Amino acid sequence: MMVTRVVILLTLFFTGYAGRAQQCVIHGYVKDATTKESIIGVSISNASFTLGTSTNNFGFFTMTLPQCENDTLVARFVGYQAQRFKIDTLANGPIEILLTVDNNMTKAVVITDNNDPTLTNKMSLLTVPVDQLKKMPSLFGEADVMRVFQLMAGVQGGKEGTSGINVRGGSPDQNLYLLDDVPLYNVNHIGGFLSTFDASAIKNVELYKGSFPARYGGRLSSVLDIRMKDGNMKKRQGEYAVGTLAMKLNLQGPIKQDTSSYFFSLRRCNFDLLTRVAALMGSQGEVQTGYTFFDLYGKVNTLLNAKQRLYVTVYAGRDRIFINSNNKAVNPSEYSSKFLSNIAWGNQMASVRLNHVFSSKMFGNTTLAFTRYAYNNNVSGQQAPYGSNDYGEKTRIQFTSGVTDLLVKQDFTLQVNDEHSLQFGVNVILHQFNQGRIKYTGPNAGTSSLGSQRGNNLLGFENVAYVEDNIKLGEKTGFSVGVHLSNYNIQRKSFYSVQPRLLARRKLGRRSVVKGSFVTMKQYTHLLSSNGAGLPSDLWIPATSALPPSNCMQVALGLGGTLSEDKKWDWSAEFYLKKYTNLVEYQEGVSFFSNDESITDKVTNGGVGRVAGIDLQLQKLHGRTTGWCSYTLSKNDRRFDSLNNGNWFPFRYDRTHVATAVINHEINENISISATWMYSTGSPVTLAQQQYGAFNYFNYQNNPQADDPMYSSFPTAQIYNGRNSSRMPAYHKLDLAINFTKQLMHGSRTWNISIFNAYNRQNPFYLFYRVDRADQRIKLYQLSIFPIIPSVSYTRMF
Amino acid sequence: MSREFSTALNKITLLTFILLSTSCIKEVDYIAAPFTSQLVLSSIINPDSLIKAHVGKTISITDTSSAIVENAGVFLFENGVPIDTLDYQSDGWYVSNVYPQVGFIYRLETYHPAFSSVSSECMVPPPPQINSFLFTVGETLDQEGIPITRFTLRLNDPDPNINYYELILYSENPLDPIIQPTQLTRITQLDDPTLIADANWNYSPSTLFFSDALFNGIIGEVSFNLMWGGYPSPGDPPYYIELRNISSSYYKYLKSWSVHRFNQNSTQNTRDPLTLLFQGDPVELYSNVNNGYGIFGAYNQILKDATYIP
Repeated sequence: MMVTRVVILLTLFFTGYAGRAQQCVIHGYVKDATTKESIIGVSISNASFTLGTSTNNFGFFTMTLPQCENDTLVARFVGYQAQRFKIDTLANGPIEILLTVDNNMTKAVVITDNNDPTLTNKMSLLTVPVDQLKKMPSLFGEADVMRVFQLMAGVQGGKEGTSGINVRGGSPDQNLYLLDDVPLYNVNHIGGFLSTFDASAIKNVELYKGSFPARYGGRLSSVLDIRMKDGNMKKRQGEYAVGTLAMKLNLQGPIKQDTSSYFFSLRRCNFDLLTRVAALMGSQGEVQTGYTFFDLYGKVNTLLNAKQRLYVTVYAGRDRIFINSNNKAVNPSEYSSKFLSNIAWGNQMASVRLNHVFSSKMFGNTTLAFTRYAYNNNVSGQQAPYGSNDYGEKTRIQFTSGVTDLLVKQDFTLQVNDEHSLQFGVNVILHQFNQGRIKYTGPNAGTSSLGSQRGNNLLGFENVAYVEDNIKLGEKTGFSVGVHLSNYNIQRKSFYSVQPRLLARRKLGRRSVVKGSFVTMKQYTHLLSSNGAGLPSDLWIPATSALPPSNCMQVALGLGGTLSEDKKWDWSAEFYLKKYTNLVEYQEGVSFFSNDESITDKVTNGGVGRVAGIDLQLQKLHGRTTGWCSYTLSKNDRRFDSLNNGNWFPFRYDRTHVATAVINHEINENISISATWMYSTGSPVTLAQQQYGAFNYFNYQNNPQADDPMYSSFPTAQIYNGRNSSRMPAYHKLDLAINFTKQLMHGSRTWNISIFNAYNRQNPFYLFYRVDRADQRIKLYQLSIFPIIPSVSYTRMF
Repeated sequence: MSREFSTALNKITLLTFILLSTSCIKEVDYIAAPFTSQLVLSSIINPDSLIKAHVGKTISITDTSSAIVENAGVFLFENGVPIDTLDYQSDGWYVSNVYPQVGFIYRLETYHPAFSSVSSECMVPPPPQINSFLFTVGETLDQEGIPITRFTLRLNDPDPNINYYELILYSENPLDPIIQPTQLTRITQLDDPTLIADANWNYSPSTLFFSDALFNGIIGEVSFNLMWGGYPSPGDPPYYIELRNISSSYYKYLKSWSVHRFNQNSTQNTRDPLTLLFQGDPVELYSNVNNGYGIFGAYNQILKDATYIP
C-alpha cells in the first residue's frame, strides 16, 4: 500500500515536471573576461528580475525560461560590470558569458547570502571576496581567511591569536574544511596562529554555519567550502610577497590559450631562519632549533571538449619543529653526542575532477581524491667516546599518528524547470586511522621492551547519498528540501543515518525575507585535542561501537533584507537552537600527553550539548566606505555523566556576548585603510575559589613534620565550585591596516602595514595561581601572548 | 617509554611556544566569589594505631592564614554507638583512646559553633594476604643494554567483594629514617593490566594502588619493571614490601588526589606556568565527608621483609 502511494506521488511529481518540458533552457559558464577564470556565485536573472539562478562551484549555470524569444538575461557579480545579453535560442552547446572587472566601482565586502538574500534558498551562509582579505589587518602581515570569519556573527575564535573557528557553539573539529571538494583534517599551523589556506591561492570561500545543503555531511557545526584559483587562461601572471611571518610566490597562466591553464603557489614560514641563527650563536655552534611550515598548492585544468573539463589539484602542507644538537666531548670522561628531534605534521591532498555537461539541464562532476593528515615525531641520538668519530648505531624513537581518506564522488545538478532544481549524488570514502604508533630502533631493539609497537590502523567505509530539490514558488516563496543518507562501517559495526535538510523562505514586502531551516548532521570521527591549546598533537579517531558517532540538530529562524532600494545596506537576524548528542570529551584530568592509556580510557562519551543564540548583523555593501558590525548573544552548555558530577556546565567555547565591527575605507585609488574591533565575554575556566589542607597520609605517616610542599602532610587541595564555573577577563582588541598600492609598468605593488592589537590589550590566554615571592601571598595571574604587534608586508603582482 | 616520549614532546613544544610567543604574565585583580567556610575532616585509621582525626576549614584560595580548627567537638561512634570523644592534641589533631577493629563501622561527627557540623564513616578491612613475591633479574634489557629487574607480587583475594590495595616498596635507611616514595621513580615500564587500569600512573602517584577488578575472588598478580636502585641489592639497607587492603573511600581519595594534584591551576608544583598548558582540566578532590570536605578512610596492612640475602 505504502509502495503504491510512493509510486503515485513520484509519478505525479515527474509528470508535473514533464508538463513544463516545452520551456526554453539556457546553460553555460560565466567567466572573468580578462583571465577566463570561472566565477562562482554569479547571479543570472531575466530582465524583469522575476526569474533567476546562480553559477555553481565550477561557474556553470542552467536556467529555464517560460519562453525564449525577445528575452534578455542579466549576469551580475560584485566587483564586475553587469552584463546584459540576448538569449541565443539556436545555441546548441553551453554559452560563455564574460564579465569585466568594474574598476570604477568600489568593491563591496559581501558577507551574507548571495547578492539578493530575499531571492535565494540559502540561509546562515557567509562569504568574503578573497581580494578584500589582503587589505584587512593581519597578524605578522599574513592575511588569513579564517580570521575574517572570526569577525562575523555566529563565528568565534577559540583562543587569543588563534585562527581556528568555533561556529555557533561548536568545537573546531566539528567544521568540515573542503578544498576543491576534498576534506582537509588540520587547517592550522602551530598554535593556530595562521590557517593553512593561503589567501593568494583562493578563488572563492563560503562558510555555512547552519541550514546545510544536503550535499554536505560528516561534521556537526559548519562547512567551509574553499575553491582554489584555476589559473589565468589568457596570459602568464605572478605574485610574490614578503612579510614578517612568511614569504610566498604564485604563478599562473595558460598551458594552451583558452583551453587549459595552471596555478601554482608556495608559501614558506620564515621563523626558522631567525631561530637557527639565534640558537647557533647562543650555543657556540652546537645547537640548531627552529620552526617552519610550508603550503604548496598546484592546479591544472583543461577543456577536453565542449562538454568536459578536467581538473587536477594538489595541496601539501607541513609544519616542522626541530632541535639538532652536536656536543663534542671536551675530556676523556665524557662522550660526544648527536641529538635530533624532529616533529612534523600536515596535510597532503590530491584530486582529479571531471566536469561533464550531460545536457542543457544536467551537469555532473566526478571526483577521485586522496587526503591525509599525518603527525610524525622522531627523536634520535648517537654517542661516541672522547676523541672518536665512531658514533655507533643510532637510537631512534618514532611516534606516528594520522588519518588517510580515499574518496570517490559523483555529483549531479538537474535543472528540471524554472521551479525545481535538483542536486543529487553519491560518495564512497575509505578512512584509514593510525591511532598512534610508537617504534623503537637501535641497539638492543630486539630485546628491549621498547622495541614493541602499539596502536593499530583502523579501516572505516563511509557511503553517502543525497538529494536536494530547490523549489521556487513564484517570486516570494521558496523551499529547499533534501536528505543526506549515510552509512559508516567499522570493526564489523554499521551506523546508519538519515539527515533531513529543510529550508523555507518567504519574502516580506519589497526588501525583507523570513527564512527558517531544520537540519541534522552526524560526525563519524572524533578529535582528541589538548584542551584548546592549539598544539600539533591533534589525534583523529574513528567512531566505533565504544565511541559512537556524534549528532547535531539545528533549528534556525531568520529575518533579513536590505534597508534601501539601492541595496547599500543590508541586515540579518537569526535565532538558532542546537542540540548535540553522543559527544566525546577527555575524562576528567586527562590530556593528550597522558598517553599511557588507551584512547577509550582517555575519553568519556555520551555527552549532550545545548546551544541557543541569536546572530545580528548590519553591513554596508557599497561605496568608498564599507564594512559591518555584528553581535551574537548565546549560551552553550554540555553535560556528561562522568564529568562535573553529571551536571550541566558551560562549554569551553561559550561566549555570552560577542560583538565585532569592521570598517574599510578607500581614501583614493592607491590608499585604503581598514580597522577591525572585537569584543567577547571571557572564556569559561575552571578556577579554584577555595582551598584546604588535603591529608596526604603516606607522607604524614613517614614524615609528619615535613616542610617540603612535595612531601607535605597537608598539601593544598583546591575547590573549584564546578567545571568552567569562572570566567577569564573579557577579550577585546583593535586591529588597524593601511595599504599603499601603486600601478607599475608591469603589474602593481602593495605595501601593507598592519597593527595587531593597536591599544595593546593584554588578553588572557589562561589563568593560574602563584605565590608572589615578594610578599608570600597567593595571587592570580594571567598569561597573555600577543601585545601590540606591528607588521609589514610587500606584495608584487606581475 | 611513552612517559619519556611525552616529556620530550612537552619540552620541544614548550620551547617552540617560548620562541614564538612574546608572552606576558601579569597579576589579575581577583575578586573572590562569596563563600561559606566549611569544616575539613581527615582521618585514615588502621588496627595498629589509635584513631586520630585532623580538623581544618576551607579558606579563600588567596588566603595564607591558618586553616586549622582547634576547638571542635569530635565524636567517635562504633557500629552506630557513641564510644569516645576525641581529645585535642595540637596542630588540628584530635586523638581517641580506641584502636579500630576489623569489620566494625566507625563514624566521626565534628561540631563547631562557627561551622555546619560534618560527619563520615568507614569500615576497617581485613588484612591482605601476600601469596608470594619475586624479583627476576636480567630477562630483558633497557635501551642502553642494562638488565631490567621485574617485580612480581601474587596475592590471595578470596573476598568476593571488590577490594582495593595499596603497594609500597621501600628500603629503610638507618641514616635517613624518612621514607620517600622514590621507588616509584624506579619503575621503568608499567605494562601490568591491573596497574594500567587503576594506578593513575600518568599523574605521579605517591604509592601504587589498584583494585581486584581483574582477579576478584582468586589469586591475583601484579608486576612491573624496576631499574637499577629500585630493588634489593647486596649491601643495601633492609628492604620491605608493604601491602595494604584499603577501604573504598581511601582508594577513591588516593585515585582522585593524584589527578587533582596533577591538574591544579597553580604553579605550586612547578614554577613554569607554561606547563599548565599541557595539563587536563582541574578536577575536584574526592571527599566522603558529609556537609564538608576531607576523607575518613581505613586500611589494614601486611609487611614482608625483602632484604637482599646473598
